[in-house]
Amino acid sequence: MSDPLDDLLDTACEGLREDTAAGSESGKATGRAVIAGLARRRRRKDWAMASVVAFCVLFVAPTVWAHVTGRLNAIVAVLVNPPPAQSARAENETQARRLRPAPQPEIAQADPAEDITETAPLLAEELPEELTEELTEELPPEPREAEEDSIAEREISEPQISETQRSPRPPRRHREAPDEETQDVIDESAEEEDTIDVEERELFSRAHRTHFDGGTSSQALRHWDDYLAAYPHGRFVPEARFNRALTLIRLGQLTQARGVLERFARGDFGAARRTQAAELLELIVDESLER
Amino acid sequence: MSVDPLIARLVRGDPFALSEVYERHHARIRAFARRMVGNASAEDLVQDVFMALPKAMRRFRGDCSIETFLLSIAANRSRHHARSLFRFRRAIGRVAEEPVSRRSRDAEEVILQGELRAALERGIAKLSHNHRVTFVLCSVEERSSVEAASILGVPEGTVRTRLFHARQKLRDHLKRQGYG
Repeated sequence: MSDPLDDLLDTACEGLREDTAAGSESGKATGRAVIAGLARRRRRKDWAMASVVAFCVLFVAPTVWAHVTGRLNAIVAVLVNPPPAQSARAENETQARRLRPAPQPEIAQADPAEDITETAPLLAEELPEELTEELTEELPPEPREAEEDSIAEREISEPQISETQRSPRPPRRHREAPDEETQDVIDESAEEEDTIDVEERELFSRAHRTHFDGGTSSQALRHWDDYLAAYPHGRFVPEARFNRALTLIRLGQLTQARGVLERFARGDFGAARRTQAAELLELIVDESLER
Repeated sequence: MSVDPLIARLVRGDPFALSEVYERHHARIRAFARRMVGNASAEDLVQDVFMALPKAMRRFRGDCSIETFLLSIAANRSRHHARSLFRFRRAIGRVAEEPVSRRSRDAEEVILQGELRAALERGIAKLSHNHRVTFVLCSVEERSSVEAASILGVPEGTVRTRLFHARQKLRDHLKRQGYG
């Protein structure tokens, strides 16, 4: 007589075995990724090899030539101990080249003894008026622009929260302290941004407590709906939507739940709950097929 | 269909050979990967296995099928997906904690079957790597101990011993979960 637990184990194994659908879409995508990955690896290897070969050719060929022509020692000596005067002169020449303005034939031919200021009015006079104005207009005031950009960035990044909400949090008068799990969820979000609407936090905490601490599923659904209606773009929307989907499952409203979970599994809410959503969807699909 | 030319092409890194092997074997490897690391990470493991295949073919001695060889790569590579396994365990645990709707008996039965599978998956996820891979190969995929030994590169006796201990642990696990 077989052990009933063994039979149960075998039954469960059979269930797991049935769940082997490869999923042609994911299979094809992975296959393409494998081929593309190997092609990239081969290209990287080819590039690395080409670089090494090029380096060897560029380094080895001149070295061999220098050795054959007997100049190797001289070149090495220059490289190891460059003459100081030459290097300083070279540096000065490089610097001078950098600082030299663009060559202007008229100025170059002017008498160096003349006062340079005499040439400046000439330049201003020669340039047409409209061009001078254009050039002046085109140059933006850089510091001011940078300042405006930073102000614009700050405006975009900061949420539209009123002054009262930004002020230090009022002491909790008649509110219960959120439980640990709720506090963890809230604190994680608080790390991203310091300013969280107190009312939003309270509404979310209420729904969370109802969901996890013994409220009925109907109550939980109502409270999640309340939160989502009040804060459709709130801090805790992904968490609220996911828990709402779980509530719908509990209430047997699988079609609605599936719609929400599919969005999570697709990554519409980023990486949040993607794995759990995918697994819940599988269970829901199984149940639908059984029906 | 001759395997040897295919293997030779694989060793050379022929992408068409790899495509061919992938088409033939990806479903089986994916099923194994899902048992080992969960659905979400299975594709990563499958990709890992086939990416490693051309290099691994250099040590292929031809004493087993390509599928067996692929499974041995997957069994080894699944060790590196420990983090995925941790997420897999958490996901299953979270799903299992949700209270069940009791509105309809049919739905209840289906969900209970799902719970049994989830309970088994939790138990499998808790096993050590060696026990897990042995159980998946022998009990879930119903491979013989000879085949499993070939895949894992261990003696047949070792496979049987590991399977015995794995099943013992899973029975205890199911009992603790309230089954049996």
